[in-house]
Amino acid sequence: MQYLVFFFLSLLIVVLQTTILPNAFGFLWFYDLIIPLVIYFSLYRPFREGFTILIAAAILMDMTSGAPAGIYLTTYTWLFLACRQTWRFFDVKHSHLFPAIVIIGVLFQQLIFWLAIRIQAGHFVFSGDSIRLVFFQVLWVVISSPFIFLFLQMFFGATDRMISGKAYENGQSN
Amino acid sequence: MFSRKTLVIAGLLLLVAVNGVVFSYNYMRKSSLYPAAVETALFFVGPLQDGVSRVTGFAENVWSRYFMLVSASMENEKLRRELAEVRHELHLCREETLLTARVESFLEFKEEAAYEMVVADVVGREPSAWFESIIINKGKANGVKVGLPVMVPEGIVGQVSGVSGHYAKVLLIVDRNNAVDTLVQRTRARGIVRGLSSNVCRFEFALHKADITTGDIVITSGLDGIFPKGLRVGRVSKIIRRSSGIFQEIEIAPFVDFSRLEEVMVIINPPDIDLSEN
Repeated sequence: MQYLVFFFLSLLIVVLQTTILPNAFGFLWFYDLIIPLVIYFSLYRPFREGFTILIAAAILMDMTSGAPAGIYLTTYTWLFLACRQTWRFFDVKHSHLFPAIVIIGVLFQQLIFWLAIRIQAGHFVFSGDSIRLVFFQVLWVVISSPFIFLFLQMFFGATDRMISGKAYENGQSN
Repeated sequence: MFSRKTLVIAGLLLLVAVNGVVFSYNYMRKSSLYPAAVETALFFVGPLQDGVSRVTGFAENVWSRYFMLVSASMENEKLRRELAEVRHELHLCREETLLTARVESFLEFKEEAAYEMVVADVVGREPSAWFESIIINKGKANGVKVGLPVMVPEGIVGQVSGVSGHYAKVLLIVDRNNAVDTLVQRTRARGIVRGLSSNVCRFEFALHKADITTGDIVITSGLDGIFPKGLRVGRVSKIIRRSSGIFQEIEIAPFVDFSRLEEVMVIINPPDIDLSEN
């Protein structure tokens, strides 16, 4: 049941960023909203739960996008594992670090995309447009990620209480 | 000396007499006392009357205006609602007009074209700015297959890259991973159109000696086995001829505005590609 709820959350985000956001904010280059979700799963949720939802979200994104197949799966998996390993050694679970980690995640995704295009198309270089795109995405992260963090905390807290009657405390129950 | 009764009667008579004199209009008007009396009375009463009447007037005004305002406010609210409804209806009418115009142009194009087409709505767009694709609401059930060309009356849009029962993914020609075999309409110079950014394509492999100028129209050659020959692609917007290298660097502005795509047409039975004409 819990997995189903989280899957629907991922599905909702995918639909949101393939329908409403490109029409409303397409010209402002909004970032991939699955990234904060992946980072949240990685830092604050059990591995199996996070990884399952990550795979589902990545497949949804890969299937709806015109990007080379598997690119989102690659991005999310590396990001998830990297964050997971990082908090074993560094204390990155503070909520005020969340935007910074999302920025790193977004930059990492841009790097993966750039490499994919570079390998496939061969001639692509970073232009003014690309720099502007990255700048806007980072700006959006700074503006929106604290609210997304709060929303995810509330959402996961509520679903945990409703479904299993317990709440994971910042990944302690791992 | 006088009885009490006599005094009362006399007093009454005097009172009547004085009253008659004092309240006699003509007399008063002529009397020199009148203006002074009026002035005195007005001196004391006037300001008070003025004050009271101002206060009551103000109160009356406030009262009546309050009711007026309440009714005006209610009327205003009602009119606003009506205006919003009318605006919404106007918006729907405009949308309907635009949709009708688009449908008419699609139908006109379908009638003129030699191939069978399916009209589809764009229901989703690429979430990343690095890649260019759309999701349409026609799939296998409507005869859509992977590789079929997609277009609008203005020009080609892209090709189907994935398909499900009722939906399909279309890779736009402005995506860097897409390539279309094309011709310059005026000089028949051949080249490959490849996506560069969301509204620009590159025309690759055009030789230095090829006669191409800014403003030339680029059409499909039909040699890629996907797009039928002669469909509009875009207009040459920029040419760079370097002294080194054997190819020109050419940019093309597509005829299609990809940011405003709402409906597209999938060519279900693209005609066989004729290689002999090129």
